[in-house]
Amino acid sequence: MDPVRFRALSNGERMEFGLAAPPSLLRVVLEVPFPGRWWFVSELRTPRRLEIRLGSNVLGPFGESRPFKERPVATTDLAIPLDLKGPIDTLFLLVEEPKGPCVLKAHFTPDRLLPGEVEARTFGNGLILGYMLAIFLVSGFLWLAVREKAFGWYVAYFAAALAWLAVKRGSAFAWVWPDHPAWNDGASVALAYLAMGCFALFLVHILELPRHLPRLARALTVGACIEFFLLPIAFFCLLNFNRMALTLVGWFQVILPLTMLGALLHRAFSRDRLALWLLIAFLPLALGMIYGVLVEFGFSAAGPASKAFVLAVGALCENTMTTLILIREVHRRERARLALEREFHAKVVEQADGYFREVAQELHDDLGQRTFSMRMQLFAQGAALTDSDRRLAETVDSLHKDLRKLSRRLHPPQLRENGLQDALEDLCRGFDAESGMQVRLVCTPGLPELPVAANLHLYRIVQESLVNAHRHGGATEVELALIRIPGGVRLAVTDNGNGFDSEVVEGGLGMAGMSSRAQAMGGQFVVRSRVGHGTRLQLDLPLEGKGGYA
Amino acid sequence: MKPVEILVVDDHPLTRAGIVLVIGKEFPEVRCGEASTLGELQEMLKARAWDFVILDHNLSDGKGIEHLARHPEMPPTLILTMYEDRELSLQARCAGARGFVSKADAPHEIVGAIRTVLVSGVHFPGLEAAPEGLPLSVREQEVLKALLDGRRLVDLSKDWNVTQSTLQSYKKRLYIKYGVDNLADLVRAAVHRGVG
Repeated sequence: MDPVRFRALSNGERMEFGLAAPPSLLRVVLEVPFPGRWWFVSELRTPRRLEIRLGSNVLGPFGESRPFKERPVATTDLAIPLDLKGPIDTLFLLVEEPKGPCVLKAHFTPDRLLPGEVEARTFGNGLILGYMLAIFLVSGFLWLAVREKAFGWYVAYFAAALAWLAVKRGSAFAWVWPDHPAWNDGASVALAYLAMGCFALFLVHILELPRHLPRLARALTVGACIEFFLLPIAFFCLLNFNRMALTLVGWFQVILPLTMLGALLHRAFSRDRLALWLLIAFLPLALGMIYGVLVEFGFSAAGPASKAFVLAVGALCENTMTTLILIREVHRRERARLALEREFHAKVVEQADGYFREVAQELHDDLGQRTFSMRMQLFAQGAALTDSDRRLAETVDSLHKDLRKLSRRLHPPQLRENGLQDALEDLCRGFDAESGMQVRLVCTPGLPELPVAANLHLYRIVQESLVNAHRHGGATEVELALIRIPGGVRLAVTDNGNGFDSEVVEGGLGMAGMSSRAQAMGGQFVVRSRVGHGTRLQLDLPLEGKGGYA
Repeated sequence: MKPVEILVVDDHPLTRAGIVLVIGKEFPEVRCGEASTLGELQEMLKARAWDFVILDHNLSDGKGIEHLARHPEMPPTLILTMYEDRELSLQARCAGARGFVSKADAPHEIVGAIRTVLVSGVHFPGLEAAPEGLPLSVREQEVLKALLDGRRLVDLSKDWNVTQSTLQSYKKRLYIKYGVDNLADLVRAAVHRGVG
């Protein structure tokens, strides 16, 4: 490509300082005339190549190292430290600027920007990148923990933002990203808008906008999201074409921030606390932007460097706060999920118990009564009974006994009336007598009274574990302990059965039922077993505090 | 001689029929009436005098034993129920029943119980040794020990996180099991006999 401007300045025109003592710094300012103040696409206006010569000393070229990348909208200025011995007669500047006319100004100044400052800037860039990387990792873990679309977009946003930073500050991160000015400009723009698009989608998902917003706003949001993904492509296409078209495209980009802001405000006014927090997180960035606009309009004397600094600080604050808010949100959702799960388990188990109770009642009251009646009738026959009648009577007798046993097993009648400990005592005694397995019950004195539902859960867990110990473990002795622990009670069932490998065996339906019951109470349920070493089953039920059941 | 008249109260018609059948067979001199609810029982008691009532515990409009406790004027009553619960048997005795028999028992035992009560005996299987012979449950032992330590139920209910009414019912059961009706006697009996 041909150089657009080739201009040599004599140093006499711009000299503001006497050169009796040679200056230590040369400042070159490149000014590009813009269509107006509302020019947005500053990224594209850096010259491709700048070559500077002082007399016969060649100081450039600078095109490859791009030291002017961080300069603000209107100007690209460059401070070059000088190590001059003699007087200077001529200054030679060469610039390749493919997109239109530009003006170059150069003057010598005393030491304003020292070489150390450049290093500090590189260090600052590294710091920013490191910090962003840390937040990126945190959000990545969040996503892994939650696996929700919104968090995925948030991570994508950070990835794009990081890539953007690395590309934009190419000179500082040449080790991360090859500094190639020919297309890094376009890439940085593309990445910036990609990041914004991801952030918009993150907002759409985390605020559940499609559900909350009216149809028009929804369409606008979706449209704006699409726009933001198309925009980078448009930029690539327009990169080397018309400036005015670029400006128009640049203006287009206001739509999404406005819809995003609108959505946030809408949710915040509908008392969505998450939206409110996100709005608050945006404040530092908004302040930075306002400050930037003020600087642009000449309200501040602080200068362009501090504008970039303010914006950077604002953006970092925003990112930090947003991530913290998300961590809080994840916590909240996790708590809500656990509560829901607990409620669900409670419902399922409660329903099952309800059925059991009904069936038990039916067995006891209806079938039990009928068999009773049959027995009475058979008995009333007295001596008239034949042998086969007698056998029938015996069958009816045993049927009656089994019915009663089944009914008691389905729903222990004494649990509600006499309390858990007595019911357990009864259960142990019954089990003892029936199976010959020694069951010992140990209770700490002064156990707190548990809610009726908890009593039933604990009773069922014990019932199931005793059956397991006898049927599957072949245990001969079981110790049942109901003891007080700080903030709750602990139920422990230890048997001397065959055991199983609790690392490998998942446990059957009975185990799942016990664990469901434990979850319904918000308790901690642990089963430990090794082959040949018996089984220990432990349930810690919190009664006080936040997760307390009582 | 006027025949003995027995009122059978049970909400299950088949059960009533079975009982009436057996009574008719075993006690030819007895005449039976039937009622299915407590309300019906009250009406029939008002209408005429009955010598004897066989009462189910679990009825559609209330609990038989509680009804008996509220109506001490009822004729001698035998509680006949599906439950075979010592506690319930104890309650029946306290409510003034003359006997307690479970439907799970063998028919000849049920007939035996009816016969015993008819000749104005009492029939409480398992309770023959008087309530003092009954073992205390874990909770009852705890309450008794605390009472022996001179602790008040108010403090206990706070310490154990148990309602006072629950503790009261334990105390009442202790009274029954020790055959006493006040705290001083309970303490004396417990000290005399040992706890448990």
